[in-house]
Amino acid sequence: MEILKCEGVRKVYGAGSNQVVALNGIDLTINRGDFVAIIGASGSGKSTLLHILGSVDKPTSGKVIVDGTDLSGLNRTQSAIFRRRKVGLVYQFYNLIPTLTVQKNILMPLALDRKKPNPEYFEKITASLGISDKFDALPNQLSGGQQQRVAIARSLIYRPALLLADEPTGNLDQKNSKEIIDLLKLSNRNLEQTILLITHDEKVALEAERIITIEDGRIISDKRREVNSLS
Amino acid sequence: MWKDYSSGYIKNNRSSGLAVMIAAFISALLLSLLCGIFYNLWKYEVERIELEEGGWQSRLAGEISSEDIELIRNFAHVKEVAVNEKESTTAETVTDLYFDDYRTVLSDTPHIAELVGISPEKVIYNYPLLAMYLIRDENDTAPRLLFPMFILITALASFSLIVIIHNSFAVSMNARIHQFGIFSSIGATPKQIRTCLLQEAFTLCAAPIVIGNLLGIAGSIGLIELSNIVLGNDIPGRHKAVPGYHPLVLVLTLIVTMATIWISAWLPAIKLSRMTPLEAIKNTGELQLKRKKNSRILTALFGVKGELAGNALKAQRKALRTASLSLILSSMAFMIMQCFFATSEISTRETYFERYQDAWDIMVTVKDTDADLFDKTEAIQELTGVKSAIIYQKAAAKRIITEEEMSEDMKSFGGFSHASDHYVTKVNDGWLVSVPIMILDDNSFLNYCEQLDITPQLDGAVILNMIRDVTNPDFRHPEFMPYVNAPGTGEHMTSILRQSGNEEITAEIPVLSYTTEVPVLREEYATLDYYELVHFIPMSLWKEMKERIGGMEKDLYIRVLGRENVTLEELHTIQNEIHQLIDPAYLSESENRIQEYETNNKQLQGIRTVFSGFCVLLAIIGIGNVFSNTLGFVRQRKREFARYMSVGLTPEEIGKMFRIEAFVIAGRPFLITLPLAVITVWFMLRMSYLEVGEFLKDAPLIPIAVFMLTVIGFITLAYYLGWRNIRNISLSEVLRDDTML
Repeated sequence: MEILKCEGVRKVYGAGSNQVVALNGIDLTINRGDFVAIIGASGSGKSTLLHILGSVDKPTSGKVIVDGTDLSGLNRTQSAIFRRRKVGLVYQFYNLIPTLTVQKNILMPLALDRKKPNPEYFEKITASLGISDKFDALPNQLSGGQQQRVAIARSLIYRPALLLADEPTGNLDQKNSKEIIDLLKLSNRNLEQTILLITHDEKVALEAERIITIEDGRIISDKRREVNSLS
Repeated sequence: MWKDYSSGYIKNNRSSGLAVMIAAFISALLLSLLCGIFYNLWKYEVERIELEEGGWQSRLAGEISSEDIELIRNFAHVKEVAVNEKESTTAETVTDLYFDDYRTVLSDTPHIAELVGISPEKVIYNYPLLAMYLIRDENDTAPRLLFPMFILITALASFSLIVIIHNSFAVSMNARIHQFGIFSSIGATPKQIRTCLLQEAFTLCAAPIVIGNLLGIAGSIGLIELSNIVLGNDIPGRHKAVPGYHPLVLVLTLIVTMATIWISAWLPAIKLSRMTPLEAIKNTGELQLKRKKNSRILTALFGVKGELAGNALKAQRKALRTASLSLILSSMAFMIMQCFFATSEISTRETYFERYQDAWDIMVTVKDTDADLFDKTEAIQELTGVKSAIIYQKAAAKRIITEEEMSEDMKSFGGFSHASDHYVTKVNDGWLVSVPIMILDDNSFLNYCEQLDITPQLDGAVILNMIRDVTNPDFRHPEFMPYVNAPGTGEHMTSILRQSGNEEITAEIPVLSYTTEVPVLREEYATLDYYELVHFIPMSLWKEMKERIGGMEKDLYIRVLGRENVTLEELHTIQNEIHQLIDPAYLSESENRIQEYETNNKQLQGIRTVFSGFCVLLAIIGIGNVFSNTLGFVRQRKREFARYMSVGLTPEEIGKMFRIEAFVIAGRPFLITLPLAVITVWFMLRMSYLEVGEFLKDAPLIPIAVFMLTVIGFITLAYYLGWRNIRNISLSEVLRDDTML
């Protein structure tokens, strides 16, 4: 079942001689429960694509439909609500609120909707991410790996249709990188979470079941592969 | 967001909200002070109208019987009806109407008039009083400016405060753009971000608004009390102001304050909430230079540290805008205000007190009295402690000056060619000029003759024979010359005076002398009309000619001189004795020189204090902004300094860089304003024809130095406290710390 569909997505920055085409006719379909990696060199357009899919940015032309919502028709408020409920964003630099505790950081998307968390679900994701004992800590009291786990927990708390991760291991050592990827795979398998992972690291990309390669704003390859189950 | 984020943020980042709190406090204080003063002005004006005109709202004049009065009394909204005995005549009764509800006055009074058979033209409204309650009638064409002035001044004050303080909110909010970017990326709507920012602003501002308002109320009451002390009994017709306050004024003040602060917070909040998550998330909160700029002076003075400090200041320019603006404005206003008052004091002293110091001790104005009918002259002159008392009155006449009469000196600067038609009229025989006649009591005139070394006699006039060189505009150092050619000794001298407005009627009077010496009176001559020819005449002569010449002023004056070095108490005693002599037969007012001098000083001091207070409040906004910057941007500055340290700058060198920043922030307002103040003072001195040396002797150097040193002291303190927070930089920790990214 389709969870994401892009048709002829194009993104152009600047005008005239300063014009830069970041994305040039992206057509892409992702099904519910997929774990997809987008790989490409720096400046290939992969982060732009992720921002458009997360409704953080708007395409210049083309159509993006996520879980039945056409993103091109959303205003600022609708985009924000879409980000809150339909997508979870994980960044390389975690982007946690430094003045909030771990628990409050995780629950923030629900708090914005004045909703209370499902205790069982909250317990499940925090336990599986190994941060149950860190609820009262502030982000700067955690290691990089722990901060990224909190960021993943926050992105999953609303059970989003799509989890978008932008170089989530880019700032981590090898051990922590592996753990984060394993956790993403776990959430993909156990929670049937659709994940779209952006990376320039081929080794990380190889953990995904589908690898899309972008170059100069175009998809140049789209391969499915069998992945190893978690040990 | 409030519960989860803002409350915790405010609790843990008190210093970053300091500037916002100070800005809110000052705004509330100023606006509350303004509203309180206006309320008291309004109250005073209502009391004045009620004292002078009466507290009635409308008035009926005509044949009104006691039955009619009873009928009016029973009319809805009518609180009281009273017959005004003073205004009533045998032909018509005047009744004053008082209403419960002022809004019904204009609609009910015509009905009442109709009911008792009074024609509409016999209905009078107390328009000044009604206007104070915003009740206007189309027949009331007088300008009522209190409320428009209040609205205009409050709007201007509000607007100025928004311009100054909105930046404090912007700085506090912009420091967290990145955090709001994160919120936006996880789904906070622009409205939620805006609401959160405004909630934070109001939480920070609630206590300062309340405290500022209360202090503003106290300040306004204090100022009214001060005005009673300063002006109390010295201004004729002034009644004692009773300070007061009304809950409605508090509501209005709170509305104006909240609106001012809300707009100030809303402007940056709306800007921030409109940022896209991408823009906001990319913002690291670090202070960046938009384009390359050189700090040549700082580089030349302090080398690379000066350049780095200059760049840091330029990067902080927006954050420090409130500080720069308010410190420059306050120091500018303070310096110019102090210099203005100093110049004004010198001018008043030289042109008024010093010039009149020996001319009078007590001046009594006797209302509506002709000097020739005044019978207390001798009694006053014989009072103990009175060295000299001149009773005099002024009259106005005209005289023709012929070409032959005009002095050679006067001819040399162009004769009457510079004279305005308003003062001098060309006639066939010459020029018709004004003649102020100073009518002195006979004894004083005889004394004046002795003073001039001429035979004392009461049948002629003494003419003040001098005219100012009108081509020289320096009023402080005027040059005088003879006006007319004085005939030689033994020659028959007369002056033909003409009735003002009816110049054919004349009176020829002998001239006893042409002089440049005037009797000791508190009078200035030829101040507006340089071409007037002043005549001093005795009362006896005036009695003979007054029917023909007329033009006498209504009031007469008594100029009293006490002993040398007379004290205020002695003058009060003489003043009381004079009033005991002439009251109640005559209606009089009196003033004394020492009291007036002291009152004038008190008034100037009071105004100076109030203006200085406003300047200090303005400076506090700026200082608050500096504190907020140095204490609020610790993390950003730590990262900035860590980078410098990573390329080899020592902590001492960074400390020096920080000191350079403090030096520039504290010094810049004065470096900018000092030359401007000097130019302004130079201009003021030129306008008032004061010498630089004269000004420098009384220049307000001490208050200006105290103001400057206080501002510099506080800015140094702000930077010292900031440096204390920043100086312990762990290089590895700061450069690794990316939780804020």
